Amino acid sequence: MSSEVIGLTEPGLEPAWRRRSGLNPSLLAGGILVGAVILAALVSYVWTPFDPTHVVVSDRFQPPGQGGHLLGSDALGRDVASQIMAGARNTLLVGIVTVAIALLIGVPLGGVAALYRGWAEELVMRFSDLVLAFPALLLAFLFAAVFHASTLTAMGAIGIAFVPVFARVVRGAGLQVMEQDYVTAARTFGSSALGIFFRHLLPNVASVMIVQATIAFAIAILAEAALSYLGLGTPPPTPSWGRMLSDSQNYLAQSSTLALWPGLSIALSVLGFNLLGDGLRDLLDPKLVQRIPPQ
Amino acid sequence: MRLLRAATLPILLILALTGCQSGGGNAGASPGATGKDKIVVGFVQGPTSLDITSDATASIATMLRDNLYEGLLRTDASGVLIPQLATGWDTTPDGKTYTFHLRSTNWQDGTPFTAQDVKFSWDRARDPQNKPANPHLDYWAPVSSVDVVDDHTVKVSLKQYSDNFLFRMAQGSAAIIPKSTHVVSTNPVATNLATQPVGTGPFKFSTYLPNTSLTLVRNAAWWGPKPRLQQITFRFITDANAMNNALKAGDIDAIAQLGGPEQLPSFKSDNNFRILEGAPAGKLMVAYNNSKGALKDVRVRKAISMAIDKKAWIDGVFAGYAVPIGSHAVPNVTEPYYVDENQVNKYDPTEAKKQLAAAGYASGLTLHLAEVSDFPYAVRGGDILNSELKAVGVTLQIDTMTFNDWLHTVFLPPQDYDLTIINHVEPRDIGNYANPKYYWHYDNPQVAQMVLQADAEQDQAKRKSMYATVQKQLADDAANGYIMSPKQIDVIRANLRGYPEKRLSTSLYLAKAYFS
Amino acid sequence: MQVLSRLAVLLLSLMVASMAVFAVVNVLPGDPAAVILGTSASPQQIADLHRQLGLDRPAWLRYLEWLGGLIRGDFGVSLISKQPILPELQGRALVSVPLALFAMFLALAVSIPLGIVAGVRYRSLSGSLISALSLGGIAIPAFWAGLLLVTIFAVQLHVLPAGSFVPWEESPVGALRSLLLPSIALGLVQGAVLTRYIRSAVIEVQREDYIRTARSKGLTRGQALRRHGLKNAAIPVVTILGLQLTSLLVGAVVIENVFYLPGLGRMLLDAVRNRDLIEIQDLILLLTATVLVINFATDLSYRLLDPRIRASR
Repeated sequence: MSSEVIGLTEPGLEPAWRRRSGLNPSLLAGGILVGAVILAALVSYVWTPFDPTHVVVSDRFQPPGQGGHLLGSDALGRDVASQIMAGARNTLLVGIVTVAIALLIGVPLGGVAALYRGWAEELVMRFSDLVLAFPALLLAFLFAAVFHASTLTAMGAIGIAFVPVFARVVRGAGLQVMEQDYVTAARTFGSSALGIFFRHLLPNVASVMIVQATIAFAIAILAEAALSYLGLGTPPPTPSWGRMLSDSQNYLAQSSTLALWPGLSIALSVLGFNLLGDGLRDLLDPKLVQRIPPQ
Repeated sequence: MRLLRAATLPILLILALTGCQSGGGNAGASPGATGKDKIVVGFVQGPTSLDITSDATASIATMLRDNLYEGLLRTDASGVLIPQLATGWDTTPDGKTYTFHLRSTNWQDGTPFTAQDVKFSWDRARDPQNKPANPHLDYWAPVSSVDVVDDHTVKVSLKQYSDNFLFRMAQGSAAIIPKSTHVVSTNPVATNLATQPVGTGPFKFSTYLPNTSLTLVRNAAWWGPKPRLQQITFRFITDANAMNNALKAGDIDAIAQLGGPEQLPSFKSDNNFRILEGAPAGKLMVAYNNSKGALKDVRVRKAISMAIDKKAWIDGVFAGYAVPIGSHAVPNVTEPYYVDENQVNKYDPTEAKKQLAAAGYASGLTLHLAEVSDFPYAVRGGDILNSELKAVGVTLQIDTMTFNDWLHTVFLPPQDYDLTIINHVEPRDIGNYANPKYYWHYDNPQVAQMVLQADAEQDQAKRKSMYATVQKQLADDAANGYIMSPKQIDVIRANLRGYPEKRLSTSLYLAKAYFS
Repeated sequence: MQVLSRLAVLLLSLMVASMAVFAVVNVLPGDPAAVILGTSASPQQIADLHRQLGLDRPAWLRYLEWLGGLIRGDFGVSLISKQPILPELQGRALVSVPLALFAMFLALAVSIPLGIVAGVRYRSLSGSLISALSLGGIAIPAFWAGLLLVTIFAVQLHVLPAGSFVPWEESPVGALRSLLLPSIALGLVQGAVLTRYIRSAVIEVQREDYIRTARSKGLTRGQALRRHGLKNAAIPVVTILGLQLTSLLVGAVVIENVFYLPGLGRMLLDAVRNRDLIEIQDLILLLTATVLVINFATDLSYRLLDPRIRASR
């Protein structure tokens, strides 16, 4: 369950064949894959080939292409393509909420640490050390046990596990920003801490945040899929890729393609977000992207 | 190049390990070896406690009743009651007094089995104050007293004749437990029976790994003919797919109650296995909370029943290995009073919509389904029900929970739920409709009275007609959404003999099993 | 001195982690008895369970008792099975630890050669190909890889078991066979991650002055790398190895459920489903402690490997 983003190529070390072409293939490929996921999710709100939860038992295990089922039908005769489209919705929702939680908590924490230093910084750093000791999945297990397992516990746990990453990046960038002459000047002229945070710090960390958020998105997708697969994520009947995979496991002998589509969807979205993060890094060239602890 | 050589090492290792199987020589757990005296039986569900008198899980009775614990009598394969710890019994003509003559034998800890143990066990079982409570208190409802006549004779007096009494005393929770080793502890949950069971049966307790396995070994001092198996291991594999693969790989020798019938074709074509297709047992239903909100209205309950396509459930959930039922009874010998009520509340979505409209829910209705995520049938059923109810304008909210949670919220108080999908596997349990506090909250005094009368009726024809009336009434009231009776399917290794061929009772008697 | 202070930090982290776990389980949601019994249990049931769990005593006392028990090797008793937890933990570890180690071994066996090749030939098509493949490998969920392996090796070819576990004492070969597919599923994905790191490290090393110096002395690129480069490239890789081991541990939790292996991950999932809070508390702390200890060990070995760090601090 691990995901690292290490660029397809390191800056300045592009292979000869790529330097010649002069475009950023990571950005392009990532953009296409992520765009496809977003498109599928948006279209599914207004149209899917079939109702994704509609059961027609007599139509079960249709191979791809049969009876209007582009990707076949599952054990209860539901259309797989429609479920994949509706599942994209769930995947994006989890990614967005997770990253939002991490940003909303992590950025202010990092900001406070950079602006005030001293005990506030110490507190933030020790807190992030503590949270880092808990891998996202373990945190999700803990939450699922104490509250009731749902999409919400999954998103909350993964989001909280990402907080230290964002807090540290903002603090690191913040410390550099605070050294700048114009910031020192602004402080001497009586700018409030809040003002410095919004006027100087945030714009300077924005590009790092965008790249970091894209990478976090990919990991959130993987973690949510694993949780739903284990029955601790999205509950039925909401279509989810992780649960589709767990359903398909009962019917590997009947239909080997059932396990293919949801897995491929997860892998391609993760790849898409990873590539996009990579491409954005090359484009925006932030130096401070942190590695996210492996899940 | 050294690097490439390093990479080939794991590949060679993988080839070596896969080769073990394709070569057929799986040394340790050689599948189908002759002269084997240990058996491993796969179960979908492990017990929550080893105390057979307190656990509502059906699997505990299946594993321990008749193998470790015994009762005064047991049910044989054809549904006939035969002596076990009692060598025989006398009945007075009014059917109100039973005198049981007891076998002279010992408990597995060496202490003698006496009439005191029987009195202790049954007095404890029928005491509602006892903690943990027996899940089948109603079994002893007709009993007025249990008296010790001498060390080897027990007299049971009933308030009135009960047709079900002997049948029920052959069930798991009526097993006899030892008075001497059982300490009534102040701790309400932990008793030593839950961890160190002692019985009189052909196998005694060895080890228990919760959620993994339970192992019994041969009891050399058993009163019956010496069992040929030295050891029985029950292995718990909740995943149907993993279970089937474990049998194919030779890790287990039998699957007790197949969870994934859609895999049967692959066993059928293989001579190494035998499929034991038993009679339909159990009542799989969408249970209704008859006292809650919209479900109080019979039209709403009927509408839900009519929205359910039993054929779709039979094929989608049990791959066709089930028969439809229309009321709370199954067509097998344990329930001789069965009548076919499938014509009532037949699948008819249009009529279902009309009934809902008549009840004032033309614009829609939202109901909650308590879904047990441990049971594949409940999960698959939930997906079907969601789709079927959507088609008649009812929105289903699915709340997933474990069986343990289900027991504590749906089955036991507070019994707060709308709908739930469950398979009632106990035979002759129609008497539950006489109890308005049972989790369905079905409250019909006429039905309650007639169920009790039927049990007290000694005339077989009259009894049968009373039960028929009850079944009709339950169907007409749509007391629950009766769907199907799944067939009991066991898959065993072809050289396993003496395994119960057509299991009727919930016990899996293995004292006669052996490998040829 | 350094080691001692690092050790002190480790112990402190363990303490804080144990407090955090205890707090989440015991303090945050209010009443563990209500959590165990479900939100709508009767007051009587809750009161009974309260007494049974000893919840009538203050939280700090229960925390100290729990911690004291753990130190003495008493992990408490499961709420569901009423069995002591430690023996089961030990039995389960016999599945999970070999699984993680086996997977690690496979990951290294795949990633070291591939990573070095990709690093040395990063300008050529073969290097880019390995690099692209590994990027794809990272995106694959290990449990999906497991499912695909089951489909191929168990369902289609019938050469390996698709799930369930043969205990070591029953048949060591059988146990190894049960662990093979899960280890591959886990190891391949980890291998993809490691490949990328090794590749980066090797590329990095090639730009160092000492390699250029060695080459100017007439060594071939391969010779220069073998004599001077690889040892230095190993330093960042070791750090990552530690982090990967913890990610393997968590990955094993998921993969055990794919293959139905009775390991710690299966135990944790069962405990979560049954809300066996005592077991959850023990297991989460155990896994977290493992993460912390691995990080500590990585930190130490990193210092030992790199003399510059030793000197500078």
